[in-house]
Amino acid sequence: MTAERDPIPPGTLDMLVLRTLMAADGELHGFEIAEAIERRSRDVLQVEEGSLYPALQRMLVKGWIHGEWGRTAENRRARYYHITAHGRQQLAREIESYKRVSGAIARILQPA
Amino acid sequence: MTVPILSAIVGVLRRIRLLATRDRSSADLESEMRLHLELRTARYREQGMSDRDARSTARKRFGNTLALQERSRDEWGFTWLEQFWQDVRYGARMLRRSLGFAVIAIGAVGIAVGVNAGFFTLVDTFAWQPLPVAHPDRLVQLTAVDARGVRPNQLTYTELTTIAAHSRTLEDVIGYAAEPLAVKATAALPARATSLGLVTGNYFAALGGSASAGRLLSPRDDRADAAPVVVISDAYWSGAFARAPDIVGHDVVVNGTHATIVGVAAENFVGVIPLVPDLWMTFEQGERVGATPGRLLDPKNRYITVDARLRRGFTMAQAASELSGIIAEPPGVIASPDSALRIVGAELRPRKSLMPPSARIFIVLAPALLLVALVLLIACSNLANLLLSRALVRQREIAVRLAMGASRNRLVRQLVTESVLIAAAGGLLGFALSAWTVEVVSRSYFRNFIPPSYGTLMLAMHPSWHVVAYTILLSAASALTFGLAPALHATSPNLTGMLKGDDVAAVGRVRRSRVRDSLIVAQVAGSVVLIAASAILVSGVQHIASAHSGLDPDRVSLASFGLAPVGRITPLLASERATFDARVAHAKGVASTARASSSPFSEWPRARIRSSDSNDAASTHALPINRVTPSYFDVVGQRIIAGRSFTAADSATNAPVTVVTQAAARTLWPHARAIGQTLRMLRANGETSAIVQVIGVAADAHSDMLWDDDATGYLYRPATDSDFATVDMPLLVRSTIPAPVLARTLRDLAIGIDRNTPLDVTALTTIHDQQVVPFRYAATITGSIAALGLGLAVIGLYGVVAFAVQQRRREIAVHVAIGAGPRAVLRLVMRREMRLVIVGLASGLVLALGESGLINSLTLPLPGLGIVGLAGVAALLLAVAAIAIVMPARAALRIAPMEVLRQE
Repeated sequence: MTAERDPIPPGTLDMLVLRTLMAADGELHGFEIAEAIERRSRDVLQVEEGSLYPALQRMLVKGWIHGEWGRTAENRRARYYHITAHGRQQLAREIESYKRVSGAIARILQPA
Repeated sequence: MTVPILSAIVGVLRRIRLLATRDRSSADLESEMRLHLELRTARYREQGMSDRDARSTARKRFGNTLALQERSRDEWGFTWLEQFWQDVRYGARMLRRSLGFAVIAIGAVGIAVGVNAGFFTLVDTFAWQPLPVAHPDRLVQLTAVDARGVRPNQLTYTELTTIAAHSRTLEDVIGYAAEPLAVKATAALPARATSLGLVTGNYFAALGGSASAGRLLSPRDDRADAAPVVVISDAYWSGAFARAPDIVGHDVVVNGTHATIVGVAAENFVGVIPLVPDLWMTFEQGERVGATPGRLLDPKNRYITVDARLRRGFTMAQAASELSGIIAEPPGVIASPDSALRIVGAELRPRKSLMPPSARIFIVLAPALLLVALVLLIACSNLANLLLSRALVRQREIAVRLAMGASRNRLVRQLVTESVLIAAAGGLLGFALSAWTVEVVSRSYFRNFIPPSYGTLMLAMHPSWHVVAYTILLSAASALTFGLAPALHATSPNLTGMLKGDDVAAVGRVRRSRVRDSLIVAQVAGSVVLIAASAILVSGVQHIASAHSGLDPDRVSLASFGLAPVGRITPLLASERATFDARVAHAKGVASTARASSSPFSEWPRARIRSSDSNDAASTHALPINRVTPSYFDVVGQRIIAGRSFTAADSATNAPVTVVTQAAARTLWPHARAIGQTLRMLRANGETSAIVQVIGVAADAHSDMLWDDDATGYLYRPATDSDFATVDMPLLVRSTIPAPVLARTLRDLAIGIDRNTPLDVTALTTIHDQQVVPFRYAATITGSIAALGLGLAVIGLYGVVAFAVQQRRREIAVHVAIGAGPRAVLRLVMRREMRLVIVGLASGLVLALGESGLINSLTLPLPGLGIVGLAGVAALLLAVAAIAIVMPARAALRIAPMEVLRQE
């Protein structure tokens, strides 16, 4: 089952996390973020779960996301993240550059 | 533009918050990851995995939690800080473990940094600390330029008022002049010598002064027709009036005229010079009460220091060219004899501080700067040496840590952190030491040097943030200087290959480090330079202080009865002085008296003269001149070698006669008898003002300032009635009774004449010694610095030898076992260090030879050390170094060979 999944392309994790948080209705904790990415990619992409946390810390420090401690439905303590205005701008920039790059790659791969 | 900066600041703040709550943040991260793992495990279990499988698959999928936590923390961006903190704690532990080393190291850095910081505090106070007035940054001092190119620092009152009225580039033009004066503060007290500040009415407002009682002076007081008013200083209010609350409206008598106190200046008001006078008065009113030297509107009366503020939008150059146009005198307006003194322009100088930094000041300071820097260098090389020795001991520890995978970079950082700790503690100690020393030394120096009639010194010698920054910089620099080399040396790979249980000492002959050897040489050489510098100063001061002047100053006192500005001696004071002279001449214990325009051992004016038979401008000489009464030579004990002294008739008729010293006679008439020759007295422009005939030749005597060059001799002219009427001519009294007894007698006589005329009596020997004071201070301070440098070098030598003995125990034991006697053992451990000392001594002596020339050219004309002096310096250093080496070397004699060899 896991064999069918592809790892996330390097350098895109931040963008995926930010996009996920923006699309989410409310706030998500780490596990929910990982699950949401897999779900939205229709289970094609699999988050390297551990590396999610350094990425979240990095984005916290940069101020793209904000974390708030709360309780899960099972009454477990969890940190819920939401995207900040700054994070939205960053996301727009990353999507922009990603589109440029992937468009270029697509053009190269097109059969002549 | 501002947004990136703002977000950068916010980012830094976020980091700081993370850092402040670092432990909690780490715990948060851990609990987040645990939750994730548990939820994942639960999810796998739901998918039907066994409990164990679910857990291990979740773990595998998540990755190494510890490494991930580490990586997350790295994102916070303060790993280096954590490591630094680790290093600090580790370093502090190491230093605590070797407390003796820590104390010596911190003390050495502290003393060396302290000496440097103290010196810098002085430089900072004068060069950079702003004047304690409002807006010092735009303050400039005005200087005139005359036709000879001379730049008199003082202006005339007419120039001052013209500039104030016409300049468009300057505002707040203020004038200041200080004048010691007899002031009678209250009816009950006799008049006292007091300091008066003559100012323009806008002085206080322009400098931002405030009054603590009444009002300050204002431009309205620039009017001579109003009743004269004075403002007094806070110190004078305390000293003369015991801070009486009803001080405003009180009456004081200034030079015989009444004036009203209208206010007290705030305690913190200083003005343009740090000597705060007792009273302030405007020039116009000062002239009316006879407090200004000479007439105010006299175009030659140049005694006012003028400062002003540059108007916004103008440069110094613009202001200077405008001023030149305002004060330059057109040629031909001034009578020809003074044409050379014609003012042709003006210059401005920044007045941000007492002595705004300039190349000239730093050239003067350079020798002192080098000396204090040398102390720091000695301390640093000393510490580098001690650290090298320690590194050798810690080689095993370092080798183990390198083997365990610590990077060399990281180890060097750790060792340097230890040095930084030492330097930080030393810097703190040095800062405290310097603040204290500067305070104590400067206070005692100025108290010895400034007579009370000059005002109250208000010089804040407190260390400013400049000094704090300088101290931090020095400490950091020294930490790198003494810490980096040993750290690199200790961790160098080729030295760490000895991880086999061998003790360092067991490796046999210890590798000698060339670095260590050259450090010892440098320390010794540096000490020699310091000792030589202080020896030059001490012997120079001795030379000046003890040189026989040719006069006989014992039992001669100088009495000044009354105090009045030049040209402002009232007829009453003149007649009182005549009475005083007559009574003193007949007093018990008085042998003889004379009046002179200048006292011996003070600064004499110079007269430009030329022998009458010479028309060569090149043979013009400037000789110190004194106008004296006939008995002057008797009183000061100067023999008349040929001819005669002046007579009462010479004085009464202002006879065209002169007495010269032997040196002057030789200078002017090298091949002829001086008596009967004539010489011309010249004006500044070279024209003859008088022709006088030599009637006597006096013995040579060093009579003006001690360090002034007087090789061309002195000139004397008879004092005339007009001298008595215009200049304060002090009375010289030769007595048969001791100076304090004479002073009492004179004081009684003075009170009998007028208790409101102050009398100042000073022994001539005191005036002589006063001039030695600055040199004594310089010698004492240099001596202390040299002692510190030598002390540091001694500690360094001692440490190195003691360590070497400890290291070479086995070698020594072998020598003893095969029959070496005590002398041979001592030679074994001392030979190398003694050789280093001698190399250091030789290079130090070479430097010291150059140094003597440097001190002479830059500061004072002191005689050099000479061979004997240098030999003395060398002997002192050798003796001290020998002690520092022999003491620890004797430990080698106590080594019991069998015990040592069995141990190994």
